[in-house]
Amino acid sequence: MILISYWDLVALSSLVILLGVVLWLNGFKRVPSLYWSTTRMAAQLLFMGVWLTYVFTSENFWLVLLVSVIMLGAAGYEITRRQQYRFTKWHAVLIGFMSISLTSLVLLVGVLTLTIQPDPWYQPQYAIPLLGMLLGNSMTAIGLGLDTMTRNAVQMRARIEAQLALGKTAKQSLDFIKQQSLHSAMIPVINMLVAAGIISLPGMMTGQILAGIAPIEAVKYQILIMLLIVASTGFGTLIALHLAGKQLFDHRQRLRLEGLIKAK
Amino acid sequence: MTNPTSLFKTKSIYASGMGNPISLRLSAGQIGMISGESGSGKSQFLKALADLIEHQGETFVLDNQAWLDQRKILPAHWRKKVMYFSAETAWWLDKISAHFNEPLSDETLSAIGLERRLFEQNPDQLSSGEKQRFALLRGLAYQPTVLLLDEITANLDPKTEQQVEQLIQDYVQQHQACALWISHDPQQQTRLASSALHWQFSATAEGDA
Repeated sequence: MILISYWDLVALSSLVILLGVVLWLNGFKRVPSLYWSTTRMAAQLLFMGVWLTYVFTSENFWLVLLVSVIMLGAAGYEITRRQQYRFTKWHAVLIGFMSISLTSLVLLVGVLTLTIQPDPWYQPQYAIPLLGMLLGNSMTAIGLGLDTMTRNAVQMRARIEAQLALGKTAKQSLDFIKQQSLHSAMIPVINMLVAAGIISLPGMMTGQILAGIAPIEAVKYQILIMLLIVASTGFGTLIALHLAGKQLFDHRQRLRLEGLIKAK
Repeated sequence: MTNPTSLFKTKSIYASGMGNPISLRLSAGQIGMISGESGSGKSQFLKALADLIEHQGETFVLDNQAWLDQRKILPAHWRKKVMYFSAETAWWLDKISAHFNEPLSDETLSAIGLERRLFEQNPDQLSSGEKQRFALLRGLAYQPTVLLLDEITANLDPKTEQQVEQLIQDYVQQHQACALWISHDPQQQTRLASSALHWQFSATAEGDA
């Protein structure tokens, strides 16, 4: 495998700097946030690299668990950060955390113990990249689904209340919004499946091939990952929408939108 | 408690936006009128009776000779019995007809001046007056015992307004139901109110019962 030097990366980063200048000349106001996010990305990944080297060599279960919990927490937080209307702080983080952990974590443990079966099963070289792939993808979908639900609940308040007044349950009254939310969460995932291998070469597979793995082996891993992503995205979204839907009503099934805060 | 003719009773209902807590009683066949300046909490009062908003106080409705307590039955069940009809209607499906479990008969439609073809249209294509009347039929299909009517004739011309009044009066008589009706029209109030059942809301003064 051909190794890349740090200077190569520095040289490549001039591309982003150039892009920022051109964007700014074209009236794009968020250039600082582009630079900041790029710097943050590099710092986070470098930190992850150093940290993973340590975790990989130690093979300590508790350390793997700690890394996983930090990743889950960050994913849960990112989900809520992307909402236009958020639930009051703790509920929001809890919904994100619960939905993403229940699916990603269960699937991860399942696939490690039953399918891949490294020894020990929590071997960080497998567990952590897999978890990262699952979280990254389900995070986006769950965020989209929740955003659609809360935004529509605020905008279509009258339609929900009209159904409640007719004696429909909270669940029934929210059903039309839930359908739209599932739609907006799942369509990008379905599109990703369709594009895989024709339009896009998925990142993990590309990485493995660059690292010298036989393409067909890389493909098998990629298919496994895709299947896990679809399952964790779908189930995670269902759980998140269920939890969020409950938060929109009180114990007497009255619509309570005061629990939602509009993001600045 | 044992008044045999009462059908619906409330004790000290209070929701935010209202001046004072309100207690009242209605018997079968009665229509009570509510008037008052905007912002005096009239709609809040009716929504509280339907348990659509947080409130204090007690509300009961007679069902098969037993009093049902609002706090003790499922909200969905209560709201089918004590139904709120809002001034602004809302529709969540693509066709008016999709909001009904059963098709409407021609006489039902013509009784309040609605044309059959409107029934299959998208709610966005109808005027607010037409939608108000369809929303009324949509709710009455569940045969509620108590009708809480929040300015439901606000967008109607005088002729259809009287047709709607007639429909409500007939419904209340035939189903041994009762109604509370918010209206700003003094003539409508005198036309409809059963034996001086009339509450005047104001932002500061108390509502009598």
